[in-house]
Amino acid sequence: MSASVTPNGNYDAIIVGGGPIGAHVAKELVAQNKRVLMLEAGRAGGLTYQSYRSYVDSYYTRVIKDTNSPYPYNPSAPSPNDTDILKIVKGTPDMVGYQVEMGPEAFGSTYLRQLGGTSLHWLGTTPRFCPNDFHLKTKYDKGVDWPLTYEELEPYYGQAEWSIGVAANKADQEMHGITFPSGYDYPMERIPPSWSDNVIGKAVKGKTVTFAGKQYPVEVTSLAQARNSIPRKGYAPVGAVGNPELGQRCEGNAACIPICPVQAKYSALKTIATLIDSPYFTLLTQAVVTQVTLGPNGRVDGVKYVRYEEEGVGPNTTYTATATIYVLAGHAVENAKLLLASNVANKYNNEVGHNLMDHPFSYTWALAPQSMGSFRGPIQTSGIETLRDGDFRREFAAFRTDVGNAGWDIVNYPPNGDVYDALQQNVFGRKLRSQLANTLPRQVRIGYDIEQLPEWKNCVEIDPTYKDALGCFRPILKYDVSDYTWQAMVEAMKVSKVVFDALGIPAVDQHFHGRIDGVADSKHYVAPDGKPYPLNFIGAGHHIGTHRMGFTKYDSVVNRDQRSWDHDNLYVVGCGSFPTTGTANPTLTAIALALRSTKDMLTQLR
Amino acid sequence: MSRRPAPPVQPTAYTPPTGPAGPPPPREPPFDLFFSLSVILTGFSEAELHGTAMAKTYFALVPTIVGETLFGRLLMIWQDTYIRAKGSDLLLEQLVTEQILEDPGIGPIARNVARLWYLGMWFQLPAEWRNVHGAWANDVTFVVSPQSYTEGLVWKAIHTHPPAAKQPGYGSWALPPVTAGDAP
Repeated sequence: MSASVTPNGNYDAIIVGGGPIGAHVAKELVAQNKRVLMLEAGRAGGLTYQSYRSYVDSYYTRVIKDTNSPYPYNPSAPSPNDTDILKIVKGTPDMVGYQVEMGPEAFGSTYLRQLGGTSLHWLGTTPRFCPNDFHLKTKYDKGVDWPLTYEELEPYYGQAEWSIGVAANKADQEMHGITFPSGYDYPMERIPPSWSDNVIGKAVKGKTVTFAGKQYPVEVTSLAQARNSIPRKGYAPVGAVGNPELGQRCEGNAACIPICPVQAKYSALKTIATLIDSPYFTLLTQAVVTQVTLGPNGRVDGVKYVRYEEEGVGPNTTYTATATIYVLAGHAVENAKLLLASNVANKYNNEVGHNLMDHPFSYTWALAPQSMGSFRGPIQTSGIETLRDGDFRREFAAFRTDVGNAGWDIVNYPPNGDVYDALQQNVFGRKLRSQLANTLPRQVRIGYDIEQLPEWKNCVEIDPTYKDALGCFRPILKYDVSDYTWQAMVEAMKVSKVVFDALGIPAVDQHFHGRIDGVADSKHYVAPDGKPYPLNFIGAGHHIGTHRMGFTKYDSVVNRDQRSWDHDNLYVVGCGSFPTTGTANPTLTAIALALRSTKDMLTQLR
Repeated sequence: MSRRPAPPVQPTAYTPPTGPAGPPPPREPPFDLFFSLSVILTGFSEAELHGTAMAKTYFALVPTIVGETLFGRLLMIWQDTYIRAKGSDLLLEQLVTEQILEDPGIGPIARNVARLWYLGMWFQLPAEWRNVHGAWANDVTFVVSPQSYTEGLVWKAIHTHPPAAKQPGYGSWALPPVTAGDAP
């Protein structure tokens, strides 16, 4: 798998990137006996059980247990890390780490360049998009429409859910027009909601919020999640790679981000492991693709890649690999970077790299009067999904409400600070023990994955000034958030208020603004009613929209099959193809889109 | 959802000190003093501390970070404090605060001993301490070992388990939590 020689063969397809999207394209093509070469920039860790376990030990010993903390740092294929993302001071870019951030807002999301991709550290939440998410322009006069409908994508959602193993009950997911064919069911029963989900759900029963003059129920429902639970008929849960008895069920390790130690959570390693012995599949790791090259007819005639043996140490060798079709599945930012570096897919427009989006994640927190049983179970098992669609989207963004299970997690990273601070104040011994026991399990955190509209000015760029150790471009991000999204952060606080009041939390223990660590709010937003709101958000890890699909070659980078308008044998796949964000965590939809695109790929390979 | 880190601290791997073997220190700081001090600092029983199997590691570790002299002084003052409390828990807690925690030399070390037990981590000593006692090579913020993380007492204190270890099993998170008021 980490062959030291360049595979030299006639490939039907070259897939750039060994994450969940590339893995699913590979799976479909290999199933049709197409010869696939997968080029992965990172290392091939995790394909043996022991190497995956080493990530877990690494996580244990990291002082800062952030999203990429379990995975080895790789200067030859660097990834953005949480610790590199700083508040942007006007006029001063954040150049720490791999990505260069120009602001005005920090793009606070990370990804991982390593075999398995960001599915190694993802949370595993897998809701479908709502039908109206595909028609935002037509329905609400905002953003753009997708060149696809929910109905067209629906069969691929089902295929994706069975491929990665999604645990959910249909009844919980049927909302906002999301429907299932009769006879369809998710492969596994829903993950049991946490104790606090149930306490909150009961407390808010019958409560509503009013948005743009219309009432919406505040209702807690179980989330669809790609983690193993009790299988339904015809499905066998997939356990750990190299140790399949392990991870047959989610065991409540409470570390979904950044690593599930038993691999009950889906990662692309599970899909790649099923391909590795196929004669039709070749995996080459430590292979960083630097350029897509064109032939005289405008079709792609090869990819150049640099292969490194040791991270950060030369010499590195440059090779060219060729195939009939080329599939870029390297992540929204990396795909855009590669297209820009290759000066391709820009014949009719200048959209490559633009319309970068995320789900800006704002949060509120409170201290319940009683134990909520916090810090137990998967870090999120339920949500308030009722505000994912509605007429208010004409005025402000929709959002998914994340009801957390891990106390104040992102607010102040308990419990290290709690222990440290108590001891600074000479609280020790039995008093320390009971103080922790009497506060931490009462912590509640409600957060919001908020929709963001496509804006051309938000983008990934490259510049020869900024290169990494291998001489590859570092991504330069320009990012801002519009009032459509800021206003939704203000509105979302109404939902938190309903929840906190329903739990009987005194006002003094409810927190809606700012940051507990004393970092100033990012934005002093003034709402249409003239009231000022200090606001803040972090990244949701949902990089969306850098090579969007559209209706014509003038408005987009790829068509509805994620095929380049300019280059017939080039596909650019993943969340970067989304024209808008909707409110759903994007991976499931990206896999469904990729599965759909493989039909078009196969017509080219016939 | 993406997670942002805690306030920045320099993650640095711990390297055991090496150097020429000299004469042994005049008196080995007694393990049982360290252990009884750990009981009072953590609020966990002897059995609970033994259960972590971390006591010997921490006992050996602290003097490699702050030196034998200060570590010895901490234990000596602890011994003296214990004798002066004459078996009164209340008085003992008061004296630990006054004699140990409020002492600018050994107070920060004692606080860090409690942090070792709770979090499996050593935190770099405060700047004021380093100004007086010097910048010891091993005095950096680090997690002692994978075991020190998984044996952190804080998780037990809050009635749960360390994330990514000692998993409680499928569906356990739906069960009622231990009532906070019942905490020992």
